[in-house]
Amino acid sequence: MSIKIKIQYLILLSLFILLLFLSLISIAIGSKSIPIDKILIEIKNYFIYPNAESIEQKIIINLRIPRIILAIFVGGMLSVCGLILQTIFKNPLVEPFTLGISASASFGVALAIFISDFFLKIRIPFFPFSLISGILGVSIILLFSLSKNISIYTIIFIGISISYFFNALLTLLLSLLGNRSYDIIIWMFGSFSIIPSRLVIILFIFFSLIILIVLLLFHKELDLFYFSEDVIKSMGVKLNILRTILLGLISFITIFSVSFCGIIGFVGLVIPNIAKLIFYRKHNILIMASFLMGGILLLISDDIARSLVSLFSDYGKELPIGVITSIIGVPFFIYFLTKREKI
Amino acid sequence: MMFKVENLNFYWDKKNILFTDSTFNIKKERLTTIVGRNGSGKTTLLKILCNLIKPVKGDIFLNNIKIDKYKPKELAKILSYVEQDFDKNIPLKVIDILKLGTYPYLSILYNNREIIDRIDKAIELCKLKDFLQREFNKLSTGEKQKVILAKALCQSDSVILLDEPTSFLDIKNEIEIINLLRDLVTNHKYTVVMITHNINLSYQYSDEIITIFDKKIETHNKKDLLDPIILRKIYDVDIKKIEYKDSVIFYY
Repeated sequence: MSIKIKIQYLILLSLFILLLFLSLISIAIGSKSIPIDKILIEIKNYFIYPNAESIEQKIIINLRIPRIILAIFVGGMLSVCGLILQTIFKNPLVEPFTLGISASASFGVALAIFISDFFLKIRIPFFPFSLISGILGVSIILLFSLSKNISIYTIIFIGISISYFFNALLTLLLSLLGNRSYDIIIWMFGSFSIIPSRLVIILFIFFSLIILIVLLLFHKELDLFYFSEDVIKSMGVKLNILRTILLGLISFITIFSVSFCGIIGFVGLVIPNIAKLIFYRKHNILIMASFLMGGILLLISDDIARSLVSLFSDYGKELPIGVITSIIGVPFFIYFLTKREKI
Repeated sequence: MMFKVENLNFYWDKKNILFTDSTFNIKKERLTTIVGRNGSGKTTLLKILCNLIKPVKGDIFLNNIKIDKYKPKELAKILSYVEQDFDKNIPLKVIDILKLGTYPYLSILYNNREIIDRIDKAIELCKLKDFLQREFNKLSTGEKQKVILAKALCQSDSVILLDEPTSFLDIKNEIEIINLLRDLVTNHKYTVVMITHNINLSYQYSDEIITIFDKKIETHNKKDLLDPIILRKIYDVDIKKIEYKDSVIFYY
């Protein structure tokens, strides 16, 4: 291992430590601030006497820790997904929502609200609707991607078409819902304010870790995408199968995250590109870097969203996290772009 | 015979037939050049030989086994494909690109020694020792082409198929690449098939010539290029030649 690569791993390690440190701070801040020494005691107490719950312990264990873990994993996975898609499609402007995932999943949410309001008169959970609707939208692309002689451009076009199709359906439902469409719009901006059940969180982290490991195992294949499709095939890769597996994994985890925290744009587009500017562009390094940087960005953004709520507490609603990621991220991105040209 | 092609037919659509009923062979351990006009199907033929494009009709045998019977990785170990690319961008170091070339040999139980040996041999043949830690994107076009060739050597043991490997190089780099290919054939048992528009290069360096005209693919001895009728058929212009001692120079 050359010195340069060693330095890269050292930077990755420091990003990891930074992430842990930020997590601890994130537990402390919010509408009720808790000092760090108190946090450590409460976490220790939780493991010794899990039933003797103080208010602080409840806030830490039931609200803040799950939310922080979600922010890290959603941010990390969205940027890893963006990275892999940019690699497969050889296009730095692709992001997890280019394939129509956001549109089809949003349609699912709108449908859930529509059905609850017009027929059932009780609110049904969005989660299964957006999950199924998202999977439906993506499976069309996956079917096409399995075919042997289809080019990456055709797949992108199909993705964009699907996006338009579901957007049309979404607009239709929004116009039918009228004033009640506010809930959908807030959901579309993305937020961690509704924390899903513990089972959903555990499942999400479980699948995220598995997909992360699979992608790391595929790092050589991902490096091959620097060559043309013909060359990749001539090197003994079954390109259509590889592509479909990767797209399937990425779509699944993106739909999963969209289903409980809405559409958080920007992370999946910009973090991989910043990672490519900073790190050596072998995919084992890029995957880890994108995950850590995406996690950090979303964690900080969520902290700001929560802190601003405590500043304007009479307003009561949290700021959409997508807004904050963009406001923090854009200046960084432009700074990095001007520092070095090539993506 | 390295390749035996029987009854090859190919078209993208029925109005534009590229090849009809062509039967030809490509000999082992020879340098064969493919010549023909633009649009005659040279690149398509090369891709058919790599099993990247399926022929409409006809069979291709590689070492007497039908080419589509090979598993993709087994085929990759035998032949590698170097495409025509003027401005390739790979944001990796040269050594990492060579490592990617050994991709078909990677498996759960791969032999690290074998992979290192392959890379070392390619470095030696292409004289890339001083370039290993350099970033590919910062190399000159000629150096890039050498790296891509070395990557192909890391990948396959016997056949290299190249699509106009020298068309965008200066004279010095062109000679270096072509001498390298010649050396691979003469001293290292490689079979090289390449497309070129440079008739002088084709005549000087190749052992066999494949021509494409009138939708037929044929193999020729390179002496056939001296026949003005054949030359006229291949290139559709009159090409004159000067013979001087043993060598021939074509001009137009």
